[in-house]
Amino acid sequence: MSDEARAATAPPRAVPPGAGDERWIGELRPGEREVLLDVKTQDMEVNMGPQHPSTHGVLRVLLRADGEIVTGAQPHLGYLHRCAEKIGESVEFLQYLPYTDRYDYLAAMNNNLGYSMAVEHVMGVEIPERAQWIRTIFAELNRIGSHLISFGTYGLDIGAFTPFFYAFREREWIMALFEKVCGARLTYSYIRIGGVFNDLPEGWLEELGRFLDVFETKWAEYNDLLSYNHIFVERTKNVGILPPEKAIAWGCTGPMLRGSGVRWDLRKDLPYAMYPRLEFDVCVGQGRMGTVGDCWDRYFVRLLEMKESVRILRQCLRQIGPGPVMADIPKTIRIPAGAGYVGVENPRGELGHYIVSDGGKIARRCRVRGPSFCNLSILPELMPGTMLADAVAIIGSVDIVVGETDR
Amino acid sequence: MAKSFEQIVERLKTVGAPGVIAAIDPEQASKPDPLAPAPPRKEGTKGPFGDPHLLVEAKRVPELLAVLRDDPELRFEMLVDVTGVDYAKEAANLGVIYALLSLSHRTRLCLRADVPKADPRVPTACAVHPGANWHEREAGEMLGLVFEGHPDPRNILLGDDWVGWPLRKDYEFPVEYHGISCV
Amino acid sequence: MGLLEHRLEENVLTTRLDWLINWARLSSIWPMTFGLACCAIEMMAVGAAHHDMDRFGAGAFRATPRQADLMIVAGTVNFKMAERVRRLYEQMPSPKYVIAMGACATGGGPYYKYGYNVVKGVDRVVPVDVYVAGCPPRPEALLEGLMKLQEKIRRQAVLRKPGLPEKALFVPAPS
Repeated sequence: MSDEARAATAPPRAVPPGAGDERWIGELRPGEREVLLDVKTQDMEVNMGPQHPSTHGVLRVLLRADGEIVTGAQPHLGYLHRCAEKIGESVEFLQYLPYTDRYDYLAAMNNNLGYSMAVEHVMGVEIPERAQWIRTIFAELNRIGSHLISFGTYGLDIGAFTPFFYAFREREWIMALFEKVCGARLTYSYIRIGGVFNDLPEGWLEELGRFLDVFETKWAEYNDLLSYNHIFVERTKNVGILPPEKAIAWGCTGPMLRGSGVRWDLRKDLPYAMYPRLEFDVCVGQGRMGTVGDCWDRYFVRLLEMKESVRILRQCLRQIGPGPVMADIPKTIRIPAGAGYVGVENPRGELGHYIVSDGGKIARRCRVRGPSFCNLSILPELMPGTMLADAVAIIGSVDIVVGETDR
Repeated sequence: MAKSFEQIVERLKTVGAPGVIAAIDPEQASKPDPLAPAPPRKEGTKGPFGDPHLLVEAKRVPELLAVLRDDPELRFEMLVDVTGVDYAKEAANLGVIYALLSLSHRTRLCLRADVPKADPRVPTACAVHPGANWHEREAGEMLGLVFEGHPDPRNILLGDDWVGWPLRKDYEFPVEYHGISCV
Repeated sequence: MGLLEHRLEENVLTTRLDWLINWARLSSIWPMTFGLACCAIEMMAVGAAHHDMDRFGAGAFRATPRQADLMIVAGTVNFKMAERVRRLYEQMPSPKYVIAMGACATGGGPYYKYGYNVVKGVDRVVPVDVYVAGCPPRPEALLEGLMKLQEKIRRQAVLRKPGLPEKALFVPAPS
């Protein structure tokens, strides 16, 4: 049986309350009048993906549509399942670090940080202060890079082509900055267990300062370009509204949760690295264009976060001092028996690692909780009742990276 | 604001929460049998590091999660993660781990429920935390856990006809799948 | 060009049909929008302003396989996706080309040993013309791969018998 045939025969699910208006043709309610007796309607199933330009990778969504109205959506994952957790319990702790780059490949620094922090948590090591500063700088710089892609591709999804090129222009500079410290453009493995791989090259911080100066003017450009564009606003306001209670119950994190007006940011609420010593605001959706928690709010939270990241980076530049960048840890890392969960604030939400060690060189279990995975799980709840064309707007606003949903 | 693990355990005792067996330290939480007496620690070793866990009865997990969510002193509103652990090839039990987060009190909590490998059934947490849905599907296909009452217990990441549970320690890698050689 | 030389007006070119067809093909290789994993981000970077794949006539990313000539397999292919990759390849009209971008598409990459779900190279599913190394390859590497593909197309046999010696095909463009 093919996938489609299997999906078609599967029992219909995720039909929202009220949306699945099931009654026989001709069955009338009080006050209704039948007009065209020979018109028969039928729900249609529309397959979107896994090869689709707007699913941000290889996501497949099966939409059930009544005319133009979506009545149900079922995401199918696993087209990029790369067995990260099996590898995590098969290779040594340090050897696993490069694999962390590859789950959320837009924010590899943040993944490195999340994994390193989890291992350090179970290991019980102290990280030198300069290393913490460098980690914070790279986490924030990568956040900007990641949100730039999200901004650019969201424009593409909605039909605006230009933001994509604007976003990639600045992203190339960020890539060049990363390349200077670790030699890679996308998969860094720079933040290591115990600190960072090596110290910053000469003049790097000055260049970062120059980048921030330029980026701030560019940020205003992005805002002018897309945020208040009439077509963009019309297509995103009041679409895919996610109420805060629902967001919490479904385990949504990151801009998805903040877009719904919940002021929750791990950097602020359960701070790590150097965030306790930094001043910044947690951006939340305010329903400026429509309702709190709509697609526009989620989009705008990301845009504002880029600005906050610039603010954080400027403070880091002022406060960073000299010192060692690596804690004193052995080459072959052995971790005493223990188990622990550590979550960090990735650009897409809370990236959690649950690590179980039996005292050896290899983890017994390395669980990865990807934020995109949880954020996406609410899609069947968000979709029903929207127009078919809004599906793209909603999926884009969730901002998934398939490497992370499937791992 | 933030609650320590001891305060949480104390509070659970006060309200008579269902299904709590014991509080275990991180080292015990990494063992196949968490309640076995630990060998004496060597002098001068630090730790154990990590998170203390709450060992709970698998059958009463949903009730306990509801208490943890609704109690005004605890308020663990978000179920961050559900996963399973196969501690060793010869272990008799699988562990089911629930990672909880309290947004009101800025606190985390890890629960561990043990189920026998021969009959790995756990009641689903979907009724309490709908976000558990996909996590449980994943844990089900990866470790062979059976979440009773789950609304949609199909495979999520692997194909529908996948054989075996990859995250079990005794998993054997496939040789061929749908005509594509794997070696 | 023998008999026709200098007999026609100046803006008429004489060439071999073989060369002309190949030249037309290699100058507008339209890739399919088909990002799988990390490499897709570098593929996007190649398509964006800084590296600009359009310089090679290959910037028109098509959303459907039916309009595409080139499939850039940018990322890890797993068993669930393998069927789709094959189907997409079959939906493309001939002549069609495949670039395996990155270590995963070439041979499983870092997932070779423990990746129970990963296809060890996309060449087990579809025929591959050019392999690009890297994890992920730099944008320049993908451009190099594209140029290699263009070289390959230039050497293709369209009208003549395939057995003819290749050097006959490197005919310089008539000036």
